[in-house]
Amino acid sequence: MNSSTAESERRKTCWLLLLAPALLTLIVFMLIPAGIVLRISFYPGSTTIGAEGYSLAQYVKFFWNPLHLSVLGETVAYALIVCLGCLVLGFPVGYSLARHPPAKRRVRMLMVIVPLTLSLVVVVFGWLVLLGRQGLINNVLVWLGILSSPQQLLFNRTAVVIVLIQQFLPFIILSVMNVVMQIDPFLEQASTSLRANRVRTFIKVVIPLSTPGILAGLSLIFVMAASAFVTPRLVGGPRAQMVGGFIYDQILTTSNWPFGAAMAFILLAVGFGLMAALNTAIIRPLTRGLHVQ
Amino acid sequence: MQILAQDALASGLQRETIVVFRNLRKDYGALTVVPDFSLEIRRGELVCLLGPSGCGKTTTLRMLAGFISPTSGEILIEGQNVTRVPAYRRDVGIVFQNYALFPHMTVAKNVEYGLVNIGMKRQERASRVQDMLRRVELQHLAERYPRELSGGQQQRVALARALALQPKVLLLDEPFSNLDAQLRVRLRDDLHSLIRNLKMTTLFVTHDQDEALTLADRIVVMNKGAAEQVGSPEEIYDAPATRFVAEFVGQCSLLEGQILDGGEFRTDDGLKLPAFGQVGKATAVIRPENVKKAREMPGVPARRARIETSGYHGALTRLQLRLGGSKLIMDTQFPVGQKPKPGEQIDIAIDPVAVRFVPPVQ
Amino acid sequence: MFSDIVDRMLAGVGKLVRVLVYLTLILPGVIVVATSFTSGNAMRFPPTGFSLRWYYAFWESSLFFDSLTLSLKLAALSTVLSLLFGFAAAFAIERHKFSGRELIRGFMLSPLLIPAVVLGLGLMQLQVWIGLSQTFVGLLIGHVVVTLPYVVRTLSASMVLLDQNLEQAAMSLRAKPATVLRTITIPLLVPGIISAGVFAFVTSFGNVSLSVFLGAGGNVTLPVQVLAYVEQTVDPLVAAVSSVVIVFTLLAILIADRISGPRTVI
Ligand SMILES: Nc1ncnc2c1ncn2[C@@H]1O[C@H](COP(=O)(O)OP(=O)(O)OP(=O)(O)O)[C@@H](O)[C@H]1O
Ligand SMILES: [Mg+2]
Repeated sequence: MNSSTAESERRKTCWLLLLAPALLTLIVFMLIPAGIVLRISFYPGSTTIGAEGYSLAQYVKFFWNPLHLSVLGETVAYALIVCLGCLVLGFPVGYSLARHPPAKRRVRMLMVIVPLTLSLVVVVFGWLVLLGRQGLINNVLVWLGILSSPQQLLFNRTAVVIVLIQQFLPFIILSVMNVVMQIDPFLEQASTSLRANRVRTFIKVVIPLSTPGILAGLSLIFVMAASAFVTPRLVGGPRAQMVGGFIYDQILTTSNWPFGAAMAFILLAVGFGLMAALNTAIIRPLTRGLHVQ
Repeated sequence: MQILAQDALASGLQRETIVVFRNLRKDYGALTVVPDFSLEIRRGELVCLLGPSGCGKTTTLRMLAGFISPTSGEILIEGQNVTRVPAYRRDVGIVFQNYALFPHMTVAKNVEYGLVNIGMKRQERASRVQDMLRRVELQHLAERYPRELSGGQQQRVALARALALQPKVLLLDEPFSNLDAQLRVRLRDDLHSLIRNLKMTTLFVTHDQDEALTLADRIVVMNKGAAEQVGSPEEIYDAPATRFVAEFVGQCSLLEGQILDGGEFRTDDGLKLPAFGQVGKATAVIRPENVKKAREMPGVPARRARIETSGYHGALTRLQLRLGGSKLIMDTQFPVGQKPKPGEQIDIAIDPVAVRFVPPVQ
Repeated sequence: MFSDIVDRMLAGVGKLVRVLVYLTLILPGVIVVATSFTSGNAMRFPPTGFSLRWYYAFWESSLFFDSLTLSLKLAALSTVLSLLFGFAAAFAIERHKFSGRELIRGFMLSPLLIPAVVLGLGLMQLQVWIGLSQTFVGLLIGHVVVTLPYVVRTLSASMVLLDQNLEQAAMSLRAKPATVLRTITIPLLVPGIISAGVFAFVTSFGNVSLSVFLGAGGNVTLPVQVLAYVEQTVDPLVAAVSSVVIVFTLLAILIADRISGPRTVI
């Protein structure tokens, strides 16, 4: 009996050892850093060197400045618009991908996956070229006679939204595809044969079944879009600021880590807050009724 | 006479116990899948676990193989307690329902796999693989991959792979369920003679009673994780111990009634049968072939029954009869053109020797 | 009748949207590659002339070329590390039923939800304290953290699909756990491992949002170099550099696609 408990102890240790490297990496180099950011955000001064004590100075500084608040509001607005745009454009694509036979899906999948994995700077650089004064879009618009001379299409809010949407489209396409592939096509056919037309089928069958999975994808996009800083920096110009860019400046240009940390934490809180709200308000009740995870 | 006795002696010596299940229990959280299972398997014996779907057959088999650890109880193989011994040190061969052939290895490599693990020399390995493949008649397919084989061929590879190591026990979990009916019967016979030739101790799981009755030396009828009856196919079929066994194995009619003092069984509506056993409520089990035409059983009082339905069952005609308030099933033969029709009357007699009595429903 | 028209209109709109989306997805990359072959000095489309002069300039530029070597080295190392850690973790999660499995699984995926600025700043401060600030190792650690979730997710998914009877069959054939892992589990998981590895590699190779914090000193990766350069000026040299990045990424994805099919890449 003793040897058998020793054996099972040994086996348990073995499983723990397997988990340990990944677990420790994430605890030491993700959880602890997140904790550090929280700690730094409560430093009183504008540097971490030799700083001590706790104060709410950074948060006060943020919320007392209308400029900061408007940037935060604008960031949330960007993120929401990007989510909406991704949904409207990405849903039809993901849906049709899911209903394609695998052989036809291959090339299309590549067109979705490559932009997803391609370095962000390269994608944004592509947009700089595309939207530049001598770029494709300007040339086409002039050729069509819509513009009389090339215009500055970059460095405004629309450009930021367009580039962000393109960046996150693959996420939503893949989420929708995965969710729709799990919906039995027969369910849809059954509904169609019950004389519901395509629109009604869609509203009655596809949307309720796919909502939880898609919302999960959307909330991920919200978090990522809200913390974007490369895109607004490169295509936004001074007029289209986002919190991410602000934080980046505070950390790398101004070296005001405590203030950067406070803003980073506010960003994190906004993202998680939205996800929690979505989860309790929509996803949880929906999944309970539908038995779909 | 003497020869028989010697045979018995020899086989008695041979027949020491190989596998012991002792009060085995398996819980999944609050769910008890196997409450209390005990069984002994002797050398060279082919034992069959028979029971309805979900009764815990696979779970029991896997506990013996070492893939599932029991909640309590013990398992002994050749006298050694292996309850906590890992699967790779148990010396148990297994053939899975889906065969579980390694898809990235050829047939020969599949069979050779276990031999490599026990550190057998290359030469010896090669000849053993050849030998095994010859036994299952697959030499010509040695270099094929599993996906290039038919279901029956895959099954034989799985068998060869398990037998190559000459395990102490061979376990088979519904090995025929993925095959069509005809192939199933042929492979069953092949398997039977192969196992017999090797004198392999075998535990076989099935929910198909025909398979169990034709293959097994002993059958364990399982119900809700416990052994309901253990016995030879004849015992199980002719003398079921419980109502569950009677109903699960073969067809039967069940009559509720009382066993009276004078060695007589009487149903509630007055049908009488000679009986022995404990006085009190009981259920009579009557197999369809033991309900005969009255003139075939001269000494036995005849009764008149009404035919409710009649249908062909191969060579036999199966009749559903009503006798007073009871229903009876009868298998019998009629000359061409003389098959009775529903609604007609027939005189029958029940073979009194073949009637069994089991405890009544609670 | 009316619903029929609506139906057709919807189908038409759907088709239009799909074409637009695919176009938007690939256009930036295609334009970059096309302009990289220009013989002129300015970024314009359509490009003027054809030459390889900007690729030659890339080859000559130690600034970009050193970054490329660094990025490749970094991506290769972080792929190996996160495959090792991720395989072990996924194996433990999928093959050992312990309470809190779901929690651990969720935790392994959580780096995806932490904004890069948070992770970047936290790691910077931590690395200042433990003396890894602006080192290659510090950068490597950050990349392992961001690639790990992809590896765990991909490998977990392929382990779930692997028939456990195969591993048990091997065990009943006297294979010790380590032997089962070496001869059955790993060979059968090769497609999943390749997908996971490719995805980790490309993620690390293209990462800019974390590298920009951790490599601000000497270790400038290619994407960070591109970012710094583009903030100053947009010229065909960057197009050539970007084309090289695109080719690497495309190659990696195509290899994974050949070996294990497009569904398994993500
Ligand atoms: N891992 C598990 N967790 C919880 N319950 C389980 C588990 N494995 C099996 N069970 C339950 O245990 C019972 C017995 O399962 P088992 O597979 O042994 O049945 P079986 O007799 O082999 O049935 P079948 O003839 O259908 O193969 C079933 O009710 C099943 O749902
Ligand atoms: Mg079973």
